[in-house]
Amino acid sequence: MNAAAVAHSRLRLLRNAFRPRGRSASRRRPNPAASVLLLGAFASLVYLTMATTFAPLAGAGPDGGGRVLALILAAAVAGLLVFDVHFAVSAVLLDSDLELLRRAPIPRAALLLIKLVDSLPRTASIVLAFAGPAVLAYAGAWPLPIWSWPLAAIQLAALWALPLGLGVTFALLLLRRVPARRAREALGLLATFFITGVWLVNSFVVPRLVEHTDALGASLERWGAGAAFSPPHWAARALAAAAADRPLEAIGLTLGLALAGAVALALAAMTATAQLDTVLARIAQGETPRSRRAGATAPGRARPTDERGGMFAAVIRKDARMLARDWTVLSDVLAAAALWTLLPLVSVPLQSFPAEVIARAMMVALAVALGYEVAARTVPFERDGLVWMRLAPVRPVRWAAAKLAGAGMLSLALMAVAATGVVLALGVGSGWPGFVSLALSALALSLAMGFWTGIVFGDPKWTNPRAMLHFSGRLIATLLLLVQAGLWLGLTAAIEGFAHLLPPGIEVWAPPLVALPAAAIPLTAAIARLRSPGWPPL
Amino acid sequence: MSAPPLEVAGLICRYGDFVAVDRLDLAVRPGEIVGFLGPNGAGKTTTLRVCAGLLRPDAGEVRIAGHPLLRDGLAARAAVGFVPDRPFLYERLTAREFLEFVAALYDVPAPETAARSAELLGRLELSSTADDLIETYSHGMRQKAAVAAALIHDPPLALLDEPLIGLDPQAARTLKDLLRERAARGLGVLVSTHLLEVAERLCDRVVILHRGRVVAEGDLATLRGDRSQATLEDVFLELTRGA
Repeated sequence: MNAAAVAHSRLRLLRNAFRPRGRSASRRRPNPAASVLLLGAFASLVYLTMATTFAPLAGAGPDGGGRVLALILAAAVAGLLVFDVHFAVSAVLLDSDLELLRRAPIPRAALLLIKLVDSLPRTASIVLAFAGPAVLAYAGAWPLPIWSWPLAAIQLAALWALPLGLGVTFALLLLRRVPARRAREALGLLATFFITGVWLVNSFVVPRLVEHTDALGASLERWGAGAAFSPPHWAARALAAAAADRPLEAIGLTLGLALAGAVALALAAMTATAQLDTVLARIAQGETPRSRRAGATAPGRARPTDERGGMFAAVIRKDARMLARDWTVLSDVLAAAALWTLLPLVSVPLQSFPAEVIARAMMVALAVALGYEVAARTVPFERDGLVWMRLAPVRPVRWAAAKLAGAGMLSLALMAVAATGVVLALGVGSGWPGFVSLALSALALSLAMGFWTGIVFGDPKWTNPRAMLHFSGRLIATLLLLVQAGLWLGLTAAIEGFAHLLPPGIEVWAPPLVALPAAAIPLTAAIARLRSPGWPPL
Repeated sequence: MSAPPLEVAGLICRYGDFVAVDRLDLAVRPGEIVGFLGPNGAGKTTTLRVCAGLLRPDAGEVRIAGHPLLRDGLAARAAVGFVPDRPFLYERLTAREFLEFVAALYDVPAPETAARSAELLGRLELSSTADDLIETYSHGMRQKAAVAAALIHDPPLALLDEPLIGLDPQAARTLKDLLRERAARGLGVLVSTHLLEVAERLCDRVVILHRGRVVAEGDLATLRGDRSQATLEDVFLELTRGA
């Protein structure tokens, strides 16, 4: 294999992604440059957050700070395992150029390497935007000597290689026995559970630890004792040793980490050499049993149609069926709804609020989140089927109305369950009309915002249920979510603060008065996009 | 007299600086099967996608069953059935549910939907798997589901982009029979294919596209001209040499 020529061609692919030419130039696709800018913004945000985290720990010294850094690096490695390994595995097993590469006289290990390099823009993002800024912030608190910076780069590269190497190895062995689709679904669900776990720890454990700094130190000490076999801890300890001017320890730990990364990649290469063709053949043959039937009708027997209600009902019914059959997406939506409802409870250990305020905040959090969790996903959830909206004689307004009605029905059901729980647990007293008005208004605006986000940033080729929007879309959706939460909390605070100056009942009619005109803006933009010739992206 | 299923006049389509279709004139008359031939990149798929309403042309006019596609898009789209080169399917629906959904989009009444769905599934040998999820289908079965979806509303014009790829000989024969039956009922068919012998046997007329322009059009006898022994392949290669 001419490695230089292969590397050159892969660089060309990357360059062409940034500078599309020919037919692809005129297609509306997410701009990679915008993603890079957003990634930079995210990295800056992480850096500032980490710097703020490390500043109060200055007294703990580089080793104390290193323990916190170890947790952050461990989170980055876990994120790589959960969110990005499947992307690398998909590149190894499903990329369109695989047939070409398999026919070429190159070793399977080299093929694996090419695909790992291809997946770098995605798989390196957690390292570049999360682990890297954390290391920089650590260096800001405990300056690192110049000689240690190349070591830091090696450590980050090893932290990238370790989960990917082990993950690809495990995936190839797993896919010899388990159908790829089921493995992907399980990974999707694992991602949800991982987020749930991180969120619960972040929301309920960390605030309590921070409240008592002595307990924080003791806890970190306790966790650190069990971290002798954790590569993120080796990286953090190496950096702490460098900051404390202990070069031998820093170099030793870095070499150990690099060796572990190299072993992981070597394992992946050996597994690919032995198993890649078997796994690819299994995927090519089709792996799903033919007996996966959706109805109880006997084969060959025509079932009378029970479809009624025309296009509008057909779209809703189709979405409901697909959601009910996609257990990863369904469970992700349910888990997310529960988490968003619980989110305001995070503040409880830090500050006491009246029960009504917490109940209201919980419903606002859920309503605002449902735009992202339900309405935004309802568009890319259709995948290639979106084209039927363009092929069939359906007005964009009617299609949008049907999609929003479906999203609204699911959202209202989730809101009703959450509201019942919240009211039973906390109560809303006599202010329930305002409570209901606020929740429904927030939901209306958030569904409109989410629908627009899904149309503009939806990725019909999604593989992870939590990533149905392009990266830039997820960032913008998060931003919109924060803006909406701020809007509703600000509005209710203003109404309560100036209640004596405002007409009675304003808490009931003000929220819809704000929500409905505001919702018209994203809805109009969404429908304009639906009418545009380049939608949906084919 | 009913309007022709398809009339294309002066169609121009560009991708950036690249001109994919250049002042194309094309018509499909009632009861006619027209073969759309051309080398790779000649502009066949682009033309079909424009006629299906998936792409907007840079210039020119497309009329489907008399309805101008740009000005009366809904009526025009209602008159087209499109089988794309890559089927647009819902993996987590069964073939029967998928057909019911597509029929609803085209406003086909429920009793008719059931009858047409059963007929198409039967003709295309999908009856026994009609209640399986599409994600379990092979490539050929997916192609059949896409054909059934394109014909479920019995449109005046059927556009098919390489419909025979992936079909077994029996299914290919069935599809050709379906298309001939449609033509016999006075409906129009425009089919793009690389299989010249299929075009030769199936189509009443052939349009050869090269670099976005029509370079020849007519029945086989017209295309042969003086060379009575020439095959469609000979004519095609001669016209598109250097592609």
